[in-house]
Amino acid sequence: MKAPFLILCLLALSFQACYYDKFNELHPNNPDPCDTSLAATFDQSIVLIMKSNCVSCHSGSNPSGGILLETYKQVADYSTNPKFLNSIRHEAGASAMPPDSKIRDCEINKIDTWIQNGVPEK
Amino acid sequence: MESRKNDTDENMKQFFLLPALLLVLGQTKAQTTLGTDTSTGRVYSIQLNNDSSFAGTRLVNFHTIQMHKKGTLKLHIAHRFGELKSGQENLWGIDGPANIRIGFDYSLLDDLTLGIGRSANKRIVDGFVKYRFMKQRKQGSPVSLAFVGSMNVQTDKDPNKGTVDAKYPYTINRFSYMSQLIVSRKFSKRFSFQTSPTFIHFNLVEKLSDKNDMFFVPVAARLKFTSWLAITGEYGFKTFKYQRDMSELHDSFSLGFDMETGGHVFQIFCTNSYGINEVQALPYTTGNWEKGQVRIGFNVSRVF
Repeated sequence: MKAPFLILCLLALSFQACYYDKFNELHPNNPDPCDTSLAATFDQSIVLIMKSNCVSCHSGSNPSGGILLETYKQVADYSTNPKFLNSIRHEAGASAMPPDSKIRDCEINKIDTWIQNGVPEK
Repeated sequence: MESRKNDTDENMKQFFLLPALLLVLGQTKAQTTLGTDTSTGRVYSIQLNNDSSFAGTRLVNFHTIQMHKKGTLKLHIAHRFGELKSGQENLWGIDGPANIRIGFDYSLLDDLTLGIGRSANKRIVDGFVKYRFMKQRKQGSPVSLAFVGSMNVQTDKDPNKGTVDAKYPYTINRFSYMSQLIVSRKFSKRFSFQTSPTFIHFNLVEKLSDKNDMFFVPVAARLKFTSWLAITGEYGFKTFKYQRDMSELHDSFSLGFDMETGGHVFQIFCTNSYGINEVQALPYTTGNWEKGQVRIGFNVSRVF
């Protein structure tokens, strides 16, 4: 009887704090960068993509890979490097970014359009 | 919301009690037994349990049935390089981006282990309890059974912290949990196999259509060639959809070698997972073997 009791205790311990939250439910008015009503500018859509996927590592005093992607100027400057889009697209010859997942195609297309339009800020 | 904050504070306290407890236990002198490295004949101190189905307590990303002797403290370092297809300029992934997990396991009993670790990916700090409650015997159970329960907290920076756009609106949203039943059988001296039905819960997922609960059936095997070298493999089957679009998510699959030397286990492998433990590797592996999105990784462990 000792083993089942211990397992039950461990299970109870494991699930003491289960919540069933959804980000889109907690933030119902949070804009989706893929929304076509949002222009492909840094302030309207690109900043949302950067904050969700890039800024947590590419910011601060010791940014990952020495690449800062926090402000408009930093992102606009780095966007001229072909590695920027190739990394986001997870293409061969570039470091896949984010390393643990790939951002949505609609977000990649938005960044592509932004670069083609000359990286507008507003 | 206030009560939720209080809940969160309480949970955070409980979570940080685990490392504190381990630090205290770490002061206890580990009991040492003697073993012999059959390749060299050298006698070394090691606390591995006798009937080893696997060389280490983890195969690549997943826990194995293997336990250490009571009182053993183990350092476990797991490293994953960048993708091989990142090319020569990136030295086929050696230049990164890399993920690394450093962890300590402590065996309270021969069949009970506690562990903590931290991964670079999302700055995940994890703690686990592993309890083996049945052992394979010649005259008795045909399999060994163990339970693993883990708690994981993403400690990465929230760029929108304190605003209405916060990535983690509540601290508790950073937590995820894993429960696993390991069923293992050592078929012969050379071949061992295990399956480990796994339940994973994330307190926060992104979309309304995403599921917080997920269920997987990982399998793992080891085929020994010599007393110190074995080929290993593990595969994580998904059982149902937890996102509307699963096209970018792939089953975690790894192939590699285990090398046992005195007191150390060295594992080198190819894997399509960037994440290191179960909650990272099972649900969110995006690498596709067919497209060459694989990376080299290694695990090194040392017992004290």
